Amino acid sequence: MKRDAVRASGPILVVVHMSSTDLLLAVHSGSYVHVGVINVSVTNLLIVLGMVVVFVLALVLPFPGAKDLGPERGERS
Amino acid sequence: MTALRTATVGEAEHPSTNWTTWLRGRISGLVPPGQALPDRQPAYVVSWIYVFGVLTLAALVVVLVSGAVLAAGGVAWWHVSSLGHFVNSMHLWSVELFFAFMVIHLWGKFWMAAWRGKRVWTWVIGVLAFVMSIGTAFTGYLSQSNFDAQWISAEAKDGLNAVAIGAWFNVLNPGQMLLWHVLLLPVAVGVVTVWHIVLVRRHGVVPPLDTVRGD
Amino acid sequence: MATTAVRRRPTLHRPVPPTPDAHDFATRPYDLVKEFVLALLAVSLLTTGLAAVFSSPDEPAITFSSWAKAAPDDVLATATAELAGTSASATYGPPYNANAEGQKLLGIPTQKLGGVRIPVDSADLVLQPIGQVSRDLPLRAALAVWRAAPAARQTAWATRYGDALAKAGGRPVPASLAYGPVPLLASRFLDLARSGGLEGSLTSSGNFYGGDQTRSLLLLSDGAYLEDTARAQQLGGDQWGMMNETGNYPGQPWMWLYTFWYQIPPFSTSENADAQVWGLMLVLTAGLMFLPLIPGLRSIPRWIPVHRLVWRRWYRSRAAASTPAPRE
Repeated sequence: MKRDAVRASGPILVVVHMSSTDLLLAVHSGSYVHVGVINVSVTNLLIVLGMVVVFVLALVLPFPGAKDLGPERGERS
Repeated sequence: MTALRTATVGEAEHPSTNWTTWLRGRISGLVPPGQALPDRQPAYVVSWIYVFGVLTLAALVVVLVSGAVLAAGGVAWWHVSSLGHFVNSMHLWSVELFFAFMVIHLWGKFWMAAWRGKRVWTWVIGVLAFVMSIGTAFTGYLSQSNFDAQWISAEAKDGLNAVAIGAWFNVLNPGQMLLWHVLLLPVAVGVVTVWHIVLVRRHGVVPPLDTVRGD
Repeated sequence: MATTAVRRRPTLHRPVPPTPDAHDFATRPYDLVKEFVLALLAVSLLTTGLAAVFSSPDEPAITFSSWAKAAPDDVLATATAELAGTSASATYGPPYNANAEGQKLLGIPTQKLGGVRIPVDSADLVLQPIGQVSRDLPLRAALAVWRAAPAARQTAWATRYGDALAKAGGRPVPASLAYGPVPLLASRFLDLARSGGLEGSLTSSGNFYGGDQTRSLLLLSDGAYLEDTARAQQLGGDQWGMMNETGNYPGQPWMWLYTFWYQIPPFSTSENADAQVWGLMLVLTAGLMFLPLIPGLRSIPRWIPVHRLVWRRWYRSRAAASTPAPRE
């Protein structure tokens, strides 16, 4: 069925919905990084790189809380 | 008037054969007293890496809620309604976030060797939750009733048929796949998730490596 | 209680101390419920934002009608292959039929283990829909000729016609008795597909409610059009397709290792690739699941001390304290 064209901001995504008769001809595959055996979509690559960045940030960014980790007042849990 | 007693009467004389008493004991013994929802954590729990478990859980909630709205609309709703399509988008992106947070959580737990101190089972159940989530997402892709679902089912059947699973779990049958996706697998993932969290609360957050007793 | 580490041979020739009980440590205030609520808010906002900006894909399903209009030669060739018994589904083996051994894993015929639990007659994928067309005397006659012929002649007709179609490459094939009723059967099948009469025909076939698309999908995947369309979107098995999605949408990055094996020998050229990759991934997943029990692997966190970043404040405070923190 025909749907309205949907545009997203930024260069990454332009999506146009079409009837399936035009499917093979008109729909372009997304952007891919093809290096040797590796064939990964730019989107997936960004997701994985983003995850690595978040992981590293989680390790290095300071966590709010008492600077001094000496004995706390309060019962043993 | 006699108040209901929860203490077992006569326990000293003989062990209770009361099933309710037994179950109560098992449930209350799952987690040390006060540890189901403690308001304190060990002093070494000060790192952003610790938030990825709860982020995974939060993402799972968004997945379930957006999925419930999709279920309320029915199989074809998101194809014909722009609101339905938006809810589908929420469902897709919450799943991407769910997996992203879960994998970062796994990375963190690996580098902390979080299976130490009787926590092997916590790790095992966690990986089980990961694998079952992949299966759940898979049945979701099969339930899209669009080109993607057609292609994924046509390809996946070969993998599953090669090891005889396809004879029972028919990926070419959207009716079956949808029911697995909406009911059977989410319940199973839910059970495994609860089990995982109970184990975490039971043993507490793993102490730092090279910490000795009495430190 | 000591951990399993104590009872094993020490790694790096250094005895590993038992892991202390988490409840024996000093504590700090921590609001779990507030943390969960904040996490839920953050994820909800993030999800809503991503959904609003990037949306989600919805490429419409290929219908038999759209297939027939976009690739009529493919439909003719597929219908002929079904009648000849040479299509992918006709030569598949279990669970659809017993016409092949199927895949094996380490010599074990794993594909046969399930048996033919979803029986599908591939020729019937063509014959059943056109058999239901009424008031088409040439078609009824052709069907009668087909059904009266012995199986060997049916196969010969359809195989010859299939070869002729392939050789003609889209140009019309001159009529010949050598093809029997197959050209007419295939052409009527194409007409039926083009008109939309095939949609649902293989799903319900006599019943009111459908829901099981097995036969429709087998017919569709017997053709080249479905795969061609998929490959144009980088969704093919040897294109890391398991990880990908149509357009620029996010795919399934977590499938990276499963799809990786299909890209490299020996799996990329193996007839038993599916069974082999499945077996390999089962072993690797078990390895991940039972990693705490695998010597060497489980010691990596000690050898590469990423944990010193996680617990740096704790280690600093312990080093600074001249006496161990008293138990509270």
